[in-house]
Amino acid sequence: MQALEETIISRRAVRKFKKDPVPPELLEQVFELARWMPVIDAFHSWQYYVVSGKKRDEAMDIISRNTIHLRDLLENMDEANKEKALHFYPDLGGAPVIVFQTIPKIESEWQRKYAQALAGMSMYLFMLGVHRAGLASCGVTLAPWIEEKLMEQFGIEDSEVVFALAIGYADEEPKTPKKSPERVTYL
Amino acid sequence: MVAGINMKALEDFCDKHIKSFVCWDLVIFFFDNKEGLEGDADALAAAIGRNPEEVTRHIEDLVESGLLVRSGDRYVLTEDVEQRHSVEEFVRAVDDRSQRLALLTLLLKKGIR
Repeated sequence: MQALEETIISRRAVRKFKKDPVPPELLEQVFELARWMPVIDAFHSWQYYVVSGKKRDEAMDIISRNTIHLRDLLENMDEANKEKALHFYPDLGGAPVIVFQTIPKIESEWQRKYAQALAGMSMYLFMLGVHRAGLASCGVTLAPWIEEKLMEQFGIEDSEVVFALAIGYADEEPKTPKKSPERVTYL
Repeated sequence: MVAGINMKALEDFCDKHIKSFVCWDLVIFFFDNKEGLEGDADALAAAIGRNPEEVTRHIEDLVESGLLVRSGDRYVLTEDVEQRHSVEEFVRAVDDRSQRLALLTLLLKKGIR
């Protein structure tokens, strides 16, 4: 249990990566962990896409047309965040792998909400797995029109992106962020 | 560096039109979506992933600076040839890794958020 707690608490969003490639077998280990997402198969609608090499460059160039993924850095623009933005923006901090998680396009609002929530839970397991495997990651916010461009670029039809994650070996040690307490109401 | 990009002209373009990173996102969006987008600022905000209030404010900035015009139920890029050319140069710079870093550095130095 302590190991789990340590994994959860020590994970950080990393925005500067080493050039070293990510071994595919390491990613396989992470997917093996994500497989343990507590949901029945009937509700398992999400799909992961892993892009590296030339396709990663293509994805990155599309993502970088928009600046929404810098929003949290730009909102608190001190010198350290400026530096981070400059490192991260041109090529997602040099991350050698980008993972996209998608769900099918769903008409029903409540079904879509449910599918997104479950996909998000799975992605968190995946992120913990990435950290446990000695890798680092950073979530990448995508504007909806950029998501559509990515889907078009990679020929993925009838899907929407729920989450994008830049992955690689960390080349920085982010400070421990301040965390607000959970908002809880006991009724 | 991208051949043929005039950095001074690009700086002038940014001074005149790119008052924020929302403006940056809007300019690229309208360049890629020449027909604009039906609907109001809410629809645009949903497309570029920003909140409607900031999108409304920055669309007006771009209309005032002459880059966008209202056409029926939508905003579109101006037909002005010179303005269009300057937008193309901006997009060409954004599409190049070293140039977009130079652009970001320039805007951050100016205190753009």
